[in-house]
Amino acid sequence: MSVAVAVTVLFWVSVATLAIGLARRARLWRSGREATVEWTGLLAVPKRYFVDLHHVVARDPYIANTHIATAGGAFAALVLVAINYGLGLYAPVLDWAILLAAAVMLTGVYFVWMRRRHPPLRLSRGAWNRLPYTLAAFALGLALLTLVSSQTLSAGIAIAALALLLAGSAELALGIGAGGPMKHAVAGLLHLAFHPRPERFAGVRSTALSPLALSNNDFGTRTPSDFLWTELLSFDACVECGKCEQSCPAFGAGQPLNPKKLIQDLVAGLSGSNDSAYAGRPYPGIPIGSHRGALSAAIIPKLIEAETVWSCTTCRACVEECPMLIEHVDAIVGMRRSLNLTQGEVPGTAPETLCNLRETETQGGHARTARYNWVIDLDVSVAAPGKPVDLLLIAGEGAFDMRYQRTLRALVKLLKAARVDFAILGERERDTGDTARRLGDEATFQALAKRNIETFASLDFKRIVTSDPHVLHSLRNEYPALGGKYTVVHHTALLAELAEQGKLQLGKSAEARALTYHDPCYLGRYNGETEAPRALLRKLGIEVREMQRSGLRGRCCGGGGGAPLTDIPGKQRIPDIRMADARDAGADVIAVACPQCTAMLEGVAGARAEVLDIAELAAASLEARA
Amino acid sequence: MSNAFTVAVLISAGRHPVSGAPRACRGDAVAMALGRRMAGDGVRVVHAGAAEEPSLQDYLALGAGTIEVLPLGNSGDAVAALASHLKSVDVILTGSNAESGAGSGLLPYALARALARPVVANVLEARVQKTAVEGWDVEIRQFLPKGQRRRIGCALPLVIAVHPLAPVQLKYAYARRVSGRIERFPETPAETCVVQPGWTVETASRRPIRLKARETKSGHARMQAAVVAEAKGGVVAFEGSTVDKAQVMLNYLREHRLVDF
Ligand code: SF4
Ligand code: SF4
Repeated sequence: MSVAVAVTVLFWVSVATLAIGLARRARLWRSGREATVEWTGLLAVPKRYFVDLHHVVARDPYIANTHIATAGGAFAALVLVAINYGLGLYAPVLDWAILLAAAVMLTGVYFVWMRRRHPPLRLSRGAWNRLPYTLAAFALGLALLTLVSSQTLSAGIAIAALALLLAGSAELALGIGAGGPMKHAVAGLLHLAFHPRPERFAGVRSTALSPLALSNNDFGTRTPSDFLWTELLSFDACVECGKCEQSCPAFGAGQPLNPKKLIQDLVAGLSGSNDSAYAGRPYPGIPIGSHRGALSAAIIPKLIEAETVWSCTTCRACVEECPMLIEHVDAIVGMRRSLNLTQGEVPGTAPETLCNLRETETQGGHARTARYNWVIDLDVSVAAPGKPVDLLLIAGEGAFDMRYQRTLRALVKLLKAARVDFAILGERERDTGDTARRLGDEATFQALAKRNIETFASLDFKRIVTSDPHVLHSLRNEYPALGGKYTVVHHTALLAELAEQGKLQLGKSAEARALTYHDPCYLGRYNGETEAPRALLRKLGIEVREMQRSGLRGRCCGGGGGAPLTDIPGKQRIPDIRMADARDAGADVIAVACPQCTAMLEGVAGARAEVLDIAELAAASLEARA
Repeated sequence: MSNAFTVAVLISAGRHPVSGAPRACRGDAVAMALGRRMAGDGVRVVHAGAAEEPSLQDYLALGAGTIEVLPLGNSGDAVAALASHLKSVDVILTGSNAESGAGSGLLPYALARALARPVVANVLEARVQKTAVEGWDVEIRQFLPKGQRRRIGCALPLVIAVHPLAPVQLKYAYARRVSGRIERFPETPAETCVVQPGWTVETASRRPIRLKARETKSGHARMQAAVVAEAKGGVVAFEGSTVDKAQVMLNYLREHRLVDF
């Protein structure tokens, strides 16, 4: 049998192996819940790969180029082998092309090997460490064989080349069925086709949680098979690059959460195995090896500990960084929903807050009539049915906090200075239910949302303005699914707009100290609004010293997702880390735009930068003018 | 779990002190959690009043399972209805105060009298013991002020009024609210006829206001009284008939102008 025929046989055996493996894996994915998928997504894969996925990967040019060479070379080589050997053409011209592709791939593999020699801590080792060798074997084998067919090499070398090719092909063909590292290629491409949030590829910052059908007794994710099948598929796409881990504030603070490990544990759950093969960093403080799961076994506590899901601030930094576009927050909130709705198992003071939300429609158990006490001397009108108004001001829970009332008063002064036609919601204002939703209490969220939507329907307004990005997010992005569609603006965007139109005459800020701006996750990552606050600061004549992690990639203050309530212990507090970021940027003032950020950063002990809301800075400039 | 003894918890319509929203009465919810700890799912949960009462839903979410509702007729006499319904129950648990209605905290006492059983108030923990070595069946830890606790042994059957600080965790689960059941019982014909007082019902304030003598002690003495259990002033009236004792108390109240008759 000639060498060429042997390659043909090897090719078809590999294709069959891959197909069988894929079928087996697909059976596991399909045990998840039915999802609505567009099969045309398959056609969109190239665009999604080269544009959307690559956009994230390109943040690390080293690995981006390495991956282009390795995967590009491998893909080209495979296509050429399929044509030349799979179809039995055996054309020498194509052999030269294969040789070229193998050479490109080998170059890429060299850089993979280089990185794997001193890998950053975020990378998983284990099976991943053998990848440079098996991939090199594949490329080398191909290269040698194409040379063999030109009859210049001995039989011994031909056999060695075939052996190399076999080793390499095994990595590629068995990967998907055996759950090896190369499963990411197949699962990753399918995940791009069937992504649970396809609108992300249309440039939408899709960040809203999807509503639970409570009336169908859908109470969240208890077992791996309670995930959508497209979500199970997405977990298999993970390349264990640890980008999520590196950006996770909870991981950084030593709380028992590591988004990479979480996804890998879910992979273990979906394939009915355990975490002993996991070769990355653990959940801080929780040893590896004792986690075991099965498709229809409860995830918590055997596969993932409850503290892990309660540590998350829902900041979406992991999602923003993930090159495989995996949705960690959806998975975490899904598990929280099950714990909350079926067992009432919520740690810390969160049960009290949820109780307050149910019983007083405020988080702190306050009287709704007390929410606007701070406005008493400011002569502000209160929205009422039949009284049309341009803007409806929603203060949110921050209105009960004495510190944050300073910000709200500043905002009201600015609105009055700009002669905006606005009204507060007064005692009609209820909590939006945002915190309840992040804590998995979908029932309370939906109940509050329903009542709020009724209230809004009775009022006559054009837009809603709020200083609370959490309120903004739920009203703008999450209420539409429940029937409430509004135009909602953040106070920084509104003030920037008013200043731009000349309606608001801002002075130059007297602030001479070095200032940095902290992006609230729910304004930046959730809503993509990073420019308006900066534009406003520029208008005030303030130059922003950016912290290393800012804008869409900013670090969380630790205040989101009910994390301050569940209060899972770690080694540090997240706001302390953020304050250190400000110190590193040399800032003496940290400008904020969210009541949660204000409270978290104000809570940092010791010498620290002063925390001022952008509204306060802007209002101070008015006084300077006057 | 099948128990050799039966446990029932009485629950009332709660109201939030600030918003007035219907909710599980905190004290009763705590009692229910204690009842579940004693008897697991075997605990019976009983409400005397309307089955439509919205706060019952909260109890379902907190794990009531099935709530037995005894409708009250015109008489509104909860004690009589409960007494006849719970004759054969060994342990009856109640909260210390309702959050709506009279909220006087008298119900456990009235019920105990109607059933001729002892009543133990301010209970933090209760455990039914199998052994009869010491001649009692329930071991109780009772709340006393200033961090003191008392262990009490008591025979079955009895009525227990649970202290609101009993160490239990309330777990609210929406799924249980949906799956829970409310079972209506027929109205028991009431023999007693109580004259309905012409009260207006309003939301209970967070805490009843305690009658308290004005402090005339120095700051140091007050501190001592707060931290040292023995350092209390006043008289303990051990001697004499009940009338004598009552007279001592009345004198005290008059002396400090807490009553004016
Ligand atoms: S989840 Fe995404 S970011 Fe995290 S390790 Fe996997 S591929 Fe990397
Ligand atoms: S959302 Fe934020 S806190 Fe939660 S896992 Fe992702 S990075 Fe970590």
